[in-house]
Amino acid sequence: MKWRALALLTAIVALSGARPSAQPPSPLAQSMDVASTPRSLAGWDARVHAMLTDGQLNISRIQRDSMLAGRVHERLNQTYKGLPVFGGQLVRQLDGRTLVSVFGRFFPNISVSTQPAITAGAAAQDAVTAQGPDAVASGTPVLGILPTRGGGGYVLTYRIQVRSPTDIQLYYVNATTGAVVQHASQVVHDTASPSVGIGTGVLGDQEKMSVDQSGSTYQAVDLLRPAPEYTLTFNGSVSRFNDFFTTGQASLSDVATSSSNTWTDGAVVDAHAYQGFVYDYYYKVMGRQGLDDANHQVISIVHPLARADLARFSPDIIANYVNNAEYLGSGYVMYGDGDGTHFTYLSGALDVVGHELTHGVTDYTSQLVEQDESGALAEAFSDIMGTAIEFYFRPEGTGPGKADWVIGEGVTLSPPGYIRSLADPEANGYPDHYSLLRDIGTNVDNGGVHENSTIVSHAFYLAVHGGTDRVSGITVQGVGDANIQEIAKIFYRAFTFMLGPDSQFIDARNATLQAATDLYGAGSSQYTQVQQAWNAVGVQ
Amino acid sequence: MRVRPLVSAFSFVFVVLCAAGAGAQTAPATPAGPAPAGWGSATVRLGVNAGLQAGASGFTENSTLQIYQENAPLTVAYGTKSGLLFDGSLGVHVKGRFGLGVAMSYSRATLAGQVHAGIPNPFVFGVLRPVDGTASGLRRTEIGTHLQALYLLPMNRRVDLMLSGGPSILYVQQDLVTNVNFSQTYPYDTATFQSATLTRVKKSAVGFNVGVDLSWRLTRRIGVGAMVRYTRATVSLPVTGQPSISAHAGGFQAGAGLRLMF
Repeated sequence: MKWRALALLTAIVALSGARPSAQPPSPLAQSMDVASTPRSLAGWDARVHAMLTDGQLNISRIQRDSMLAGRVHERLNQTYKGLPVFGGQLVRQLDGRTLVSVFGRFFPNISVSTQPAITAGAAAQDAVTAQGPDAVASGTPVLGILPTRGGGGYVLTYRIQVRSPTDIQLYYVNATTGAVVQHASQVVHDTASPSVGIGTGVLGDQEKMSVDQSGSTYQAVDLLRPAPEYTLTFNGSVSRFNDFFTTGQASLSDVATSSSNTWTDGAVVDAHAYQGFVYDYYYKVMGRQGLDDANHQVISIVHPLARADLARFSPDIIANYVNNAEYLGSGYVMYGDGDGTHFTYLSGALDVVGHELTHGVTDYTSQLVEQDESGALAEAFSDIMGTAIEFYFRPEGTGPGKADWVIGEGVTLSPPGYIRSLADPEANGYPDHYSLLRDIGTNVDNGGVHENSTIVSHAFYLAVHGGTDRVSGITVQGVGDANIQEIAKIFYRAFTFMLGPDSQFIDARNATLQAATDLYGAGSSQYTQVQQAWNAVGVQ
Repeated sequence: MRVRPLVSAFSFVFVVLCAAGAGAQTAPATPAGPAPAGWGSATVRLGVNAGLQAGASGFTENSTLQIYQENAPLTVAYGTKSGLLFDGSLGVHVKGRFGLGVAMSYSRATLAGQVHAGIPNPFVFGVLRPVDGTASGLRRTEIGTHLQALYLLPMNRRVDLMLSGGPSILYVQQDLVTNVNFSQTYPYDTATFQSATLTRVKKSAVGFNVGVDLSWRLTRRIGVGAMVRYTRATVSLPVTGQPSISAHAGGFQAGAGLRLMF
């Protein structure tokens, strides 16, 4: 190993009281994984202070703690000779001036030239060329240090966003050679294995809609909630769809309207009502005001592509924009119509809407990289919060309109009738134990971000509902479904305040235990259930 | 609290009656005095009174508003309150001690209503937020037309007692609460009563009246008197889009004033 995981490994052992399990190394295991313990806290306090002083860290954001008065969380971005180190970030929790915890990943021993050989414009052109026809560079390229996947070292790169008619990609271009080092889609899809087909309509439940009346026309603009929330429809227009991805611009002319205040477009109704529910949940339960905790706008887009045009689309397009929902960044969410055979309108599921908007929360907090373990954490967090939101608004039961432990049960038409199960991931082919981690470091599902998410979300299920992990045989009592929000708060606190862009499963374990300690105490039942749940799924 | 005006009205009449009775016992009859009590030579008796009307029992409005695409129950308990009474009567001798008469009364009072409503949550069905408040300044006006059979009972040369009874037509104007104005802030878990929207409704109903009028002749044609009457009818107050509201009209009326005999 070129770099060694120093204090972190010791810290993890001290925290869990167990030896590290024999788990497959993550591609970024060379980074220094930071998880403070009471014993190491004083040392970390001094080290963070020193790194701030010598410029290895700078404060990028200070978040007030909406759950504990007096606490703040500082996000400290790693820099190298004034350039950002992509993915390097520590999150410091302070109670007044007292350090409470430190989490994150730090990349030590960087030694690369910071002088680019090519210009930002040339790098952007390289990225656009790599993306293909009709692609355009968006925003300003950022020069920084990229820790390469697989432990290959550090590379001076330009980070460039590239938009194409059907995608938004983030490229890292070698600032010396102009070669593309890595790239990944920024569009966060919900389902990992979509299918193609034709189907029926939307669910028949009634929801209230907070809309704007403009003359005799009603617009799907929520004026009652503090955050502006819009629901747009592209009405299946391919040209509008392509324009949006190319320009990143939505128009007020896209806002869904109705000539009466009785709305009949189910996709519009559910997208609009449920995005409001998600805002309400985060506000009431987590004390959070919108995606960025500052009432950032939410713009939901329905009918991006028409079912009638399925024959015109490639399987990828159908998979991503018909049989899928995706968070697009900056508060934009897109819900496919479903092909009618495998999926129906995806905005019809409250947990799916909660899942996508939680990606927005992640975007404004931990910024978990949608790749490998960190991506799986992001997907797991979205599933966890989507489920917690469903439990908050719906009575517990099975099937559409009920709170349950499966995702997308109302909109998944083909067997098994849901997308993922938190209760029994294996029933749908997903792993339920860390030993079954798959596709890390590959391009399959961005390194298995959806597939591996169920290891984490299953831990959440066990901590709440209780049960026995299929692989480990470890039984967890759980706090009971009626107390689901207690555990949801723990995960929310850990994922939004303590994790960073490159956090791994073990970081999530440590962070949730820290959050449980913060909220309920180290000797609490909640702490014990979360700890046992992580043990059960093999993250220890 | 609510019966005090009624008691006061009765007390007033009682005092007048006692005074009249006492006067009847002690006042010496003189040839030059008033004409004998009873109809005597007079065939018409006029009376005007001012006094109080104790309102009939309170009533309750139960209606349903439409707020945020959902039914919002509204209950208003309207209280009672005494109001000023102005009354005029005309009696005509028919035969013996009997006569026929008509009286008109006008009363006005300002009531208060205790408002309780359930305001639906703007985002979800089935979550009502209770609001409570008082709607004040509710005006109630009653105009009564009382047809009366009269029986005149002389007490002595100056004092006589008129018993009356018959049907009444009561015309009621009443301010009703037809909507509730409330304030709320996100997340809209609660709402606060701000004011009530009032609508004035009008309705007539047929009822009855019974009463006693004690008069004391000062001269042959002029006297003073006091009356007490109980009248009552049940009116169905109409509210647009809602079931009508059943309310009692009338009540105890007491007054004193001038009497003219022709």
